[in-house]
Amino acid sequence: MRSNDSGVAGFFEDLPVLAFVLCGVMLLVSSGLWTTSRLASEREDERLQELAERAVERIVQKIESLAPGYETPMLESIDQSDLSHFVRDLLDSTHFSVNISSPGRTDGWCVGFNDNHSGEVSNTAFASSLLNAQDFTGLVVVLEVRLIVWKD
Amino acid sequence: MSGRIDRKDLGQLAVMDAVVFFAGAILVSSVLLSYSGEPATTHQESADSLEVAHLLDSVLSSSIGSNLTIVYDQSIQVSRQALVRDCLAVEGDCLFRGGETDGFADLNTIVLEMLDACAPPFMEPHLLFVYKSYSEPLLALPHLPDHVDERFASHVTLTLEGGSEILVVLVLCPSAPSELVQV
Repeated sequence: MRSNDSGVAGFFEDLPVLAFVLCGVMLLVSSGLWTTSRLASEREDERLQELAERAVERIVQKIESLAPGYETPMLESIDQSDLSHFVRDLLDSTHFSVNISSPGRTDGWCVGFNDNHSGEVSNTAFASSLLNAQDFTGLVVVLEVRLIVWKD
Repeated sequence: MSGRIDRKDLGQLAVMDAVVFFAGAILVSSVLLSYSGEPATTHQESADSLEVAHLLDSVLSSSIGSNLTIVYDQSIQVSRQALVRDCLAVEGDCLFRGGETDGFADLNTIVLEMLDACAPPFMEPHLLFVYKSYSEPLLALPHLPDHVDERFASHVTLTLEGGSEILVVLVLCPSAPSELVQV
């Protein structure tokens, strides 16, 4: 009977200890899980950002290659080039939207295309780059290539 | 006073141990959370510096876009196809000789508008002309940037007519908070 009483009293005495230990373990586990998921998400974001930056570089190289030698590419040749197909091959399964426009120009010259995706978006990344191009009057303008990529 | 430890003391010791464990768990969790919250700034800063260099090069390699007259010794008609780089070299030459740049006001307005249009959002461009031997800029457009913590700069060297060289420096500063509110 005595040992039984001690057992019941011991259990209730141990409850605060148990509570502190459980809270501590839960805190460690939850912060560990949160940190792991956050690092994984950051890594995914970085990968997408790197993909966007590399893709913009490749698009700019493609546009610059439209002009022979070291000449400045023409706006007309950018209009006529099949950049959409090039970007689709480049980004494979990643969804994208590309806009090429001249920030300082008032006539509204602009080329844009995307992969016609309208589903849910989880991660997005953006990259842009500047280059020079020439219009039919011989005017050299600044062009900005803007790319947004995203995953389902 | 005896050397014995009774049940009550053992219970208090166990609670103390549990509290210490809990405090340790809080400490480890806070270290973990602060580590995961640190942003990666080094890559971003190098990317921003590269962006400024690219912006300056692109604007200098483009045409001014409208015919204008520069008054320097005599009136010079500049066609809209003239490159910004060449026009700024003429202005740099004027500054190098100690001349006034009032006659270049239209050109400066055009160049600043181009930089503004091409600069990243919420960044204000400043263009400085600096001669190598002097620490103070010969000219700052639209004005000398204030002391700000975050700013990115890039420069190009323009060769003047006599063979001297002048630096054109582009500084991008974050827009003032009042300007952000307007946006």
